[in-house]
Amino acid sequence: MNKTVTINISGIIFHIEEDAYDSLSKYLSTIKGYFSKTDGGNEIMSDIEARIAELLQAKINVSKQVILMADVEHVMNVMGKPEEFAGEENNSESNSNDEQTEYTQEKIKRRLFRDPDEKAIGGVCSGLAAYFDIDIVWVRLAMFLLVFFGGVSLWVYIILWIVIPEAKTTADRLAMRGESANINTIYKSFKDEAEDVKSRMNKYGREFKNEAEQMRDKMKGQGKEFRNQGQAYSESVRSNIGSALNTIFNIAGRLFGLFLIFIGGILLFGYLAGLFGISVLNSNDQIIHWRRVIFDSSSEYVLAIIAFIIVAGIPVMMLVYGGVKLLFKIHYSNRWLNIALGIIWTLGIILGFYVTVSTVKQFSENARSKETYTLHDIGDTLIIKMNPGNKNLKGFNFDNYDDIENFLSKNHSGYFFGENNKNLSVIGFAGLNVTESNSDSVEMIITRSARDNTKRGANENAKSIDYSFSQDKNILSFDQIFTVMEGSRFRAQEVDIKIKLPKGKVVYFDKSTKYLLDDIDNTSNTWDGRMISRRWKMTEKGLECIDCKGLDTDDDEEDEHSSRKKRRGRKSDKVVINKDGIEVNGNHTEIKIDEDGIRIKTPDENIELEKDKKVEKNKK
Amino acid sequence: MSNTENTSKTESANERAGAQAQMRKGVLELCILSILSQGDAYPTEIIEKLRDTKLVVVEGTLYPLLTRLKNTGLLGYRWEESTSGPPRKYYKLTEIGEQYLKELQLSWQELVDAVNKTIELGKKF
Repeated sequence: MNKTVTINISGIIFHIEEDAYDSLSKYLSTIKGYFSKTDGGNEIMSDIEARIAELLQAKINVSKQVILMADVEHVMNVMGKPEEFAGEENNSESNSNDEQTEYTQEKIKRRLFRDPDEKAIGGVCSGLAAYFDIDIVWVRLAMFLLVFFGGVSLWVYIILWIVIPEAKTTADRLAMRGESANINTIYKSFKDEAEDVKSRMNKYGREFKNEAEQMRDKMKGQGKEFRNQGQAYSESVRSNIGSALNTIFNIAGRLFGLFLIFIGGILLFGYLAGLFGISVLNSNDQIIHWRRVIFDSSSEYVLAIIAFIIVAGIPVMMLVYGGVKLLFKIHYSNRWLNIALGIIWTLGIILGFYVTVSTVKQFSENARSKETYTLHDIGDTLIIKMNPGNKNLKGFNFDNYDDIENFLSKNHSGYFFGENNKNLSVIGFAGLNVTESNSDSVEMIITRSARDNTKRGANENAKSIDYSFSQDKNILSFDQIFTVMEGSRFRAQEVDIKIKLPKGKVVYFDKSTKYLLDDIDNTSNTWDGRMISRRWKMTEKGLECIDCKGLDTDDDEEDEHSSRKKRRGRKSDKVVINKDGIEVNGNHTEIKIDEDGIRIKTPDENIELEKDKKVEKNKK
Repeated sequence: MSNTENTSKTESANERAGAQAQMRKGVLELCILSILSQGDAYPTEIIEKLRDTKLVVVEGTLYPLLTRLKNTGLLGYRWEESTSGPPRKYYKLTEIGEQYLKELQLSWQELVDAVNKTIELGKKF
């Protein structure tokens, strides 16, 4: 049993045994090499091929359908050796021997190989030096400089090492030092290929004209001949278009290779920048804490980084690899390497998946612990205030209360992390809501919630929340922040305060509670930030503002820092004097005098004169 | 010294080979044109006729020659379908080709005569 190849010689299909095919294609390419410089070389080639097809056709019958080595040898005998007839058409004075050596030299296209004889590491530099005809010293020097000052090129070296085949046989070594391929000749080969297309197209045009003329003659003749004409004509068109297309694809392939290298290079740069970024971020406090927060252990974090390196790195490498292969026309592919890379990449994906799942699992279960209080001695009006930031915040760089106040004036949500005795410290923010009570007493429910991979763990984590409030008659004071007790892990702890107010009772939100309020429903649909410094009465319909007359209620789109001078429905200037005190509302200024003291609000600053306190000025 | 001798030797050999090639080329041209003057033919037929006259050449020689003759306008061609294989190029002599053939035949005759005379002169002495 022998393997056969199917080939097409001037439009006729042959089945040919492999060894016969090899020697026939070698024969044809040798002839092509001889005629490549001759005028009408392509035409000569197609004539010769047509004749060869005819000869081979004669060798085939019903019982013998495959071209054998003997048939090819017969063809070669009939046609003769290329060197026997190639000299015929050369107008140069030099003899055919010289021409032969010239031709054989030109025949070997220089290819890129790694040079095993000259190698220092992998023979990449020596191969490149041979390919570009540069002294190896310069290539090595350039490579060295790029590696140590260019950063990227170590990868490039490794990729080249993988991609470029080693020159194993003598033929490889010859091809390595074949027709000199410096930048000029590469450019030339591009140009030649382009010219080739052009000349083929021109020739095709000429032939078309000839054919057309001849066709016209034939039209007067018989239809049969006309058909021949058409066939032969379409043959030549097909072969011409085919070879032109081939060349175009060739150029396009190389350009695409360049493009791939370019894109791959950019991605590689981004990828390395990402790796660099990770190492830089490791020096940033908050990021370090986040890392500790998200990953249970440093080993998991390392695994995550490894997963990133593999999952992002391999495709980028493969992109550059493919580009280099296309550009230098390297038809070499290491199957085992591809399989290995594929396996590694899959493992990377699995690893990334595992790290993600195990991290997500840490937050999969949720637990709440509720504390319910019944508040007495409230009277008619419940006043909600904020504790000053007097929490003992270990692990954060707060030197004094001012620092804390300053911090709280800037941050109202999310989480903040610090480190204390190698333990993570967490700051979170509480939220407060007011709803209707179905009893006659004021109730307060404080819910601490947290997550973990088990219910029990989540419960533990919820209990680790350190949060306090205090009651002084009808004044409730809350912490704005809660902390997580030392030694506990961050597991999305939250604190929610719900105050249940019986109908008819009034709640007053002190100005300091601006960021504590959490989407409180009210009849006028007033935004939380505008609910402060006002009194709200619980009615049938819900909380209703009882000192907001003339206040615009369409507050959801209110933008505190909006520069728009004329806000839609902006409250008009008004003065209110009632049992609570005196309130003056201007366009930009507010003055309130009540039991809490005197507050003056201007666009630029707040002046507060509170009971038993010094004047405070807050620049906005 | 030896170098120059060597080069001069190879040069003379080259010249000889070149002269032979030129001569054969000229003769072959003449033969092909003569064959085509008897009627249109495609390369294989031309080869067979050349073989009959014992002027042995490999077929490959013919194709570049025919193409050159066609490109210089001495020959024209047409396609004809063949029962065995691809369509054939039938070559025919153009008017210019016929003229050129006449001139070639004339100069060939002169050359043969001159050569024969020279050879006979040599025999006499």
